[in-house]
Amino acid sequence: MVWFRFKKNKLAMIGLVLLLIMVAAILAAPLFVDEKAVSAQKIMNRFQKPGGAHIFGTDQFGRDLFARIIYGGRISLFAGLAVVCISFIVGCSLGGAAGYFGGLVDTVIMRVVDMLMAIPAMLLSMAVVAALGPGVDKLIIALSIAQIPRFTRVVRASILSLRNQEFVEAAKCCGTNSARIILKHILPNGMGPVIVSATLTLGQVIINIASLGFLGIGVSSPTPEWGTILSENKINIRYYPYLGIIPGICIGLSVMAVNFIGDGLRDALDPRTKN
Amino acid sequence: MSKYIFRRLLMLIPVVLGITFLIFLILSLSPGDPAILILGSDASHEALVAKRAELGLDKPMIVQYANYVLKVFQGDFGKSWIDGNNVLPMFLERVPYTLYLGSLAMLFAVILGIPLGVVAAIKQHHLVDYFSIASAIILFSLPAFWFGMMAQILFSLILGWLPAAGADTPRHFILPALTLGANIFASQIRMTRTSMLDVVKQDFIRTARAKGVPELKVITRHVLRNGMLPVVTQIGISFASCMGGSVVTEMVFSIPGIGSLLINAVKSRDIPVVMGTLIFVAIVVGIINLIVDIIYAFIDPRVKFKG
Repeated sequence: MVWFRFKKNKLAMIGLVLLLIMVAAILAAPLFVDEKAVSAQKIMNRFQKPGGAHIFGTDQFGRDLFARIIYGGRISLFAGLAVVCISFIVGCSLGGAAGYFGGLVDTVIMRVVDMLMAIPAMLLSMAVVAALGPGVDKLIIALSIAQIPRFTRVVRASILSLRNQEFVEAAKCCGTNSARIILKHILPNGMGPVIVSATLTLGQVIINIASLGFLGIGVSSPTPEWGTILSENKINIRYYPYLGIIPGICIGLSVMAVNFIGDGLRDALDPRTKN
Repeated sequence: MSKYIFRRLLMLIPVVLGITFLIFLILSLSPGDPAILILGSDASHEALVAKRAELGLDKPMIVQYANYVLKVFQGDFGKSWIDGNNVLPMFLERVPYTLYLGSLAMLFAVILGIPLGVVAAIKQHHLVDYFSIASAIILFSLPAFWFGMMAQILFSLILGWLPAAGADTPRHFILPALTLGANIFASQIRMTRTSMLDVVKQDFIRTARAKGVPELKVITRHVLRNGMLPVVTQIGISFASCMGGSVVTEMVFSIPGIGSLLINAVKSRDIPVVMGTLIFVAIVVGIINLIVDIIYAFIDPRVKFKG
């Protein structure tokens, strides 16, 4: 039913197709682009305009921009997915426990969440990067810590609305233990808003990864990542606009695709929100 | 109401305590020795021990935390590990730039975003509606620093209309405010439009129209007033994210605000500065949320202050 409604939403389908194409291209990258081309410098070839041997042109060191973008997508998109998965799992556990048990567990978890929510996600991630140091793995941890509070809140709200329903009471009467009730009965029924929230968070995380890369505190050069690529080329963009436009379009398209999917899922899961 | 405000301000204290504690906790788990960071890896063992004692790092984590918090409540945010300057004066010097930039960005986003959202809702499925939705989608999907860079190239380097970087005159803040406000502008359009469309379908609007109230009055008195609550909430949330976004914008346009201070502190792992910045931001965000809650009561008389 959800898929049927989702399928009818043109923008959501465009988003899904776009994202699938991007993910497929990134996964299949080794088949059509040699990984060595990512960092192979040929000063003679610097600033080649897009077209011919270099579809997206070359940068100031003569490196192929297409290779850097397509391998950079692995970090931009997959690190984003990792962040969403980690914060989704931790947020579900914490929000699930807070919502189901209530009382002291709820108070403690939600007060910590409130504290973390008092700081904008971007700044919190930066503080954690400062504490942990640079690196992709640490970047993923930092961004996840910043997103966990949001998931915890959404999951808790979702569980609170289901906690006293008859089917949960019935499960309790049958002697089912708490973990099983949460995992088998409550979570599957309350997942709608959480999945929508996860999709929309992915868009924001992709932008945050690019922003941290651009600021030089995320993925550091020469490892390609869309924000880092923009940062490397910022001085030359005025004279060679493609160096700025192409990575910008990649970030924009992926975030747009993810947001379309998120909006489509929201409408499909809750038909009342559709105008 | 003053009692309510006082209670809410008091509630900021546990938030600040909690944030500092969490950062302390993360720091205690993180690798690296701050003494080596400050003195360099070739410093002698004695010098490192002395530095650790000076920074209080030889004490247990909980004692370090208690000392730090006591000092913060006395207005002492510690000294930068890198240049030894006091954190508070550094802050006070930079805060006005960040607040000015943030306020300008919000002003731009609200002044343009809300009316455009209202018009889009009234003229649903017309050209204005499609235009506002499309611009919201595009602005929402692109990172602020990208806009900033492109605006800098177009308006400063190619057309020469506005200064590219710095913070000397109000003109210097136009491009940064537009950059920082772009994302908030997009969320304002979306939020206002959705909220208005929800209200327009309600029975009381149909009643107002049926009894012959002029359309302008229906929109301003009935639709706007009732649809404004979620929009005001969005403004509050946006101001908080604005503090986060301003970090990037300040770096793109070389504005000497809190953001650029934080970036340099993160790069050099200058923890006292990072910690001070977070405390400051948490307090500002707390105060903004309080202001938003107070505005609620003015817009919607049904909302009452509860201590």
